[in-house]
Amino acid sequence: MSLSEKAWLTVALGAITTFAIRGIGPMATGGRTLGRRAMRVLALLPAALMAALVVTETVIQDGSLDVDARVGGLGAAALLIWRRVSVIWVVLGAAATTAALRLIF
Amino acid sequence: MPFAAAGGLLAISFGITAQTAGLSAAATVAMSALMYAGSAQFAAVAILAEGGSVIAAVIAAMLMNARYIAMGLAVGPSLKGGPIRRALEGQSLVDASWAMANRGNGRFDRHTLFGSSAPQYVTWLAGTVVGVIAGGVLPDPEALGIDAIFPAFFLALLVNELRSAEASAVALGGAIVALALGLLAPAGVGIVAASLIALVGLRPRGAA
Repeated sequence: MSLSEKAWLTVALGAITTFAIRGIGPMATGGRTLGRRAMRVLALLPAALMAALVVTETVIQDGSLDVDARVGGLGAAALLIWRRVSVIWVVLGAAATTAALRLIF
Repeated sequence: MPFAAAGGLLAISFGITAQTAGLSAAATVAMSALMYAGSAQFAAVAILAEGGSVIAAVIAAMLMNARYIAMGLAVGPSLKGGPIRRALEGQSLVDASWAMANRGNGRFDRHTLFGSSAPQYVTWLAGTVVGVIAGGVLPDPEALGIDAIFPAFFLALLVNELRSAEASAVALGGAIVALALGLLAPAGVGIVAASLIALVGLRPRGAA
């Protein structure tokens, strides 16, 4: 399968599943709801997934470890988040730091 | 609205990332228009870019979106009409809107939900188009640090999730699993496997 075919199939399946996932909660609340333990798992899911995404997108490239300027950019983002700066400046600061580090090294 | 603006920046970086990954402009814009789910779209494109399968990409996107089940169950009673109407109203669920519409007493303001999601949808779509165009013009997007925007945005969202010691431990576990499997397993497996760490939520409470 070509990348173009894979992309369109992903768009189609992604759109259908996203629609269903967004709709199922409001649809179900007329009747029964999930148990408390299931709700707790769902509540913890974003933390696991976002941490996984941050790590993979920062230091993994094509299946191998690649520590580059992005790590510095993420450090700048962490500092700005800690300083309670607006998320716009967090992402701009991360990009600017990464760009500056790539310019220097 | 800082989140609509930051979402626009994220959408620009998504458009550029998808172009760099080799997706067509039409498929990239269609994905933003039909999914409107940043983390799921980035996860799917990251897996496709590394040569992963459609199944892995779609499962990763579904897992990224799974939080909308919990958010939808919470918001459902505040929406109007029968099951079908509520399911359609639920399409306005996005993280920042859900948080802003939350009144904190178990009820949600549906007008705040819609009123916050609509501009975010516009900036998400417009940003994707800008990113797709920029991705075709910019000789080297990485020189501008574009690839740091996504992890930075999600670091900001992640920090918001770390409300308990349990959530922090789950995040640490998820990061370790994703890092280890990211190096050892095919693309996407690490992110999917990291989600299993959230199953610690099943353990009985009160003992600890």
